Amino acid sequence: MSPEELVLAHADLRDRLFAAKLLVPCGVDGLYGRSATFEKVLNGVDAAAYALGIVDDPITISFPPMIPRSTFEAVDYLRNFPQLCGPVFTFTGDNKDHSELVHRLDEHEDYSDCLSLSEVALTPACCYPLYPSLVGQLGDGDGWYSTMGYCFRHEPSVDPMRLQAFQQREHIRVGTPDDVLSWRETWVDRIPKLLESIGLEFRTEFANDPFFGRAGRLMSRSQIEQELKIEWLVPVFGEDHPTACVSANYHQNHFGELFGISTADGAEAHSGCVGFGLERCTVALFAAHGTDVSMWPDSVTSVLWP
Amino acid sequence: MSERTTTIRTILAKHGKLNGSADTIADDKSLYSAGLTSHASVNVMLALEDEFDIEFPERMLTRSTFETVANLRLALDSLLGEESD
Repeated sequence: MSPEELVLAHADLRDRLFAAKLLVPCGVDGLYGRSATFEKVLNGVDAAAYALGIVDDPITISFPPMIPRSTFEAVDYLRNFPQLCGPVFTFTGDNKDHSELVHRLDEHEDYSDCLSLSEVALTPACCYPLYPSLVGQLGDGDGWYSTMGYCFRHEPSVDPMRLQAFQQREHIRVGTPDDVLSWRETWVDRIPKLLESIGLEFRTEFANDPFFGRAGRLMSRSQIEQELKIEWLVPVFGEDHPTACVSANYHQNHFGELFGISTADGAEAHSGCVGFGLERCTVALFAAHGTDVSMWPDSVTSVLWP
Repeated sequence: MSERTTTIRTILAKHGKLNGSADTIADDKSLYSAGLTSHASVNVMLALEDEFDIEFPERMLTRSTFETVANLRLALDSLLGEESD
């Protein structure tokens, strides 16, 4: 498929989701309203992804879709992924500054320099707010967590698998390197079973995050060489252009060191997470089984709505 | 020790966050096993580029380039030419 054909395939699937009123355009690529049916499927995927982790008896925590700017800066997001970031700006000026702001607005001029950084940023990955909350030593038997929430990444696209505002279900393990890696192996077994049960084709690859620039090339290659990220890719637009729907990640001691987290034995904690892209799984289901949910196979719906 | 190797060790001491001393680590000892993280290797890369006014080409942006002092020296020699005594 040529790049032009791929864009047409993206637009075609998005048009079908719009026509079926599953997604509602908001005027910006990657930002859509969702119908009750879309949300029902998404919640079914989330429930199934959550249920897969119940065996670990995780502590389940929800966070708002924003993180403190201090966390956003500490996790090196601006160093690694500046192209995706969403710090929140607001107005903190006086009356004179406000007049200037309104003038710029009326003249359709850029007003970004009238605003200033707030103390929050949009959450780029829903496990980020967890780590600073774990500062200190984990209690005996602690170290399993689950969270779900909205994330933001600035990557406008006509591809309905690539949204700017989307939800993740994340399972997180914090512990020794062996704890984290053996836990990740359990997910390497579980994830294919879930994807198969809902009728999604996939393949598995070692992958890298979209680190920015030349320094990012080194980070990306290093991530692949160390097999830190495993992705389950679904070929919604053909085998040559599959989309990652689930990933299992090993962070080594990155967050343990940053936030001063130690294991129950006092060693610096390592961590890993398993992330489900809930909209990606949902859109992949509509692409695989059609936009009319009433026509989906019982084998699939019985997993989503047991 | 050559001037270039000394500079590599100075930059490793400043940016490498190694567990031991960057001055004494053997030329062929893995810097990763001495605590060099991916993030730290990026900082080492940027500092070397600044110091020598070079840009590591795409083919050198791999983990092995930053694995040992000797590998870094080889990479610099290939970019800058052999060091004259």
